[in-house]
Amino acid sequence: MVRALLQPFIVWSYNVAPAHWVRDSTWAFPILEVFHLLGLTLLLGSVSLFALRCFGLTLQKDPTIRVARDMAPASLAGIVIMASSGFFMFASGAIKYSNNLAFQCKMALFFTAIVVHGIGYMRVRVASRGHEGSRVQWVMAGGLILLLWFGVGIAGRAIAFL
Amino acid sequence: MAFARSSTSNRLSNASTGRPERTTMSLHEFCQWLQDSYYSTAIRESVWVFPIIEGSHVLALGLSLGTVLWFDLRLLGFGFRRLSVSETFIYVRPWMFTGFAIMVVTGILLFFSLPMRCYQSTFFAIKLVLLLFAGINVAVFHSTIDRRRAEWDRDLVPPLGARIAGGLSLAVWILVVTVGRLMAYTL
Amino acid sequence: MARSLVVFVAMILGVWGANLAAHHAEAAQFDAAKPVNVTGTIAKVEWTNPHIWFYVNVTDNAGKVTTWGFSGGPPGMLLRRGITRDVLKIGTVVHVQGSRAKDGSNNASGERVTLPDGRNVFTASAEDVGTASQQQR
Repeated sequence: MVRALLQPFIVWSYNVAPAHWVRDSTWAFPILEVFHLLGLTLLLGSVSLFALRCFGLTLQKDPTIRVARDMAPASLAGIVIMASSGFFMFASGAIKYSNNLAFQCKMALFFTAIVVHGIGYMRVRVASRGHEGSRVQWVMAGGLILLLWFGVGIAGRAIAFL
Repeated sequence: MAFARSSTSNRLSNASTGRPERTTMSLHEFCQWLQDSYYSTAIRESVWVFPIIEGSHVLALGLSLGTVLWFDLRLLGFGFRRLSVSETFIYVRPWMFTGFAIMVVTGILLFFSLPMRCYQSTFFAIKLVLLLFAGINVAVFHSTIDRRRAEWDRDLVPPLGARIAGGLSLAVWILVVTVGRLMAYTL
Repeated sequence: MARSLVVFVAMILGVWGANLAAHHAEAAQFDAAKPVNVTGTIAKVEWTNPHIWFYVNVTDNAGKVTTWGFSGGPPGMLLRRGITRDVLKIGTVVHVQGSRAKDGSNNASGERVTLPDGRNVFTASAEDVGTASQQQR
């Protein structure tokens, strides 16, 4: 049912000009993959450091909320790079990818991660400077964000193997 | 007949041509010997083991390069400026090392499972050279400008030597990732 | 935000530049617009990660033999489709459909393989599937 709703988007993506470009070019797809990996480094690196701080394992000198604010721009940049490179890669083979179970899981996890990350980001932004919050809350937040984003990564790798 | 990709070599053995037997192996022979070994073949033809090793290699990028990134940025004068360079290093060090340990172990296992492909790949050779260069960069940094770290530890923007080390490190690692991915694209 | 914009632009330029530069490259990618249809005897099978490869000797009317290399998915993926390594046995006569490699060599993605008993097996990985099965214009 979800597939039926998304069908117009899938077909549109497949026919968009950059999708043709990527299909026709020999090196476009590999280069997109490289940018996708560099975005992954930024995103997973900042998410890891944030989660580690939530668990009290690094940057203990700084309040957790400070680390969250420091990591936010890098996470955002990582997401933007991965989403844009990811879209062009997806578009080049929209139909076969949308039929792939691993890709479907990846997208479900991705949108969940975006929502959770977004909510967390908003709460961090409006919180006061010295706000600490309970350690339990931070551990749950860090753990959830970490699981979701690494889940996206694992599902992404599974596309080639499933 | 010529196969598009052949991993077997067609050499006459030294015994049949009357030449004295060599006691050392060439790199090609060594890679072929690895390729033919039981465990190399087992990993290469596995259902789960290879995907898990390769997936770990890619995802550990976040922990390894993803944390080194912050130290290099601090050397360049960006990010974590309120911390001294030493403090930044102490914070990222254990995770950096963990990440790199995973990269090295999975990397060696990947090479071990596909030695002939790595041997034939120009990109792999470039990747090794880049890794060597990254090591040299670290060594040079530690033996020169880093000796006087106490002088500039708290500077918002470290001296030129440190910035060069940080910038080179970032550039090299980005190239390593690029070349590593492109390895998959040569027949 | 400015930083990610710079990277985004760099990416677009990189892809555009690649498009200009790419005409002869050893890329293990397949062009869906160049279908391949051959019948021949399986000469060699490499049942390996990350892609299996099988080689088919095709004899044309003049008696000349060309060896085609076909790339498929990883062993695990094929196993989940019920394809084990003894499905592609050396000496079997098969008909293979696929998409030719972008560098124009005698290599292709091995998509549909028709076995002597009439069974069809689908050996390509998600990445390599050509357009025939996915075009919906």
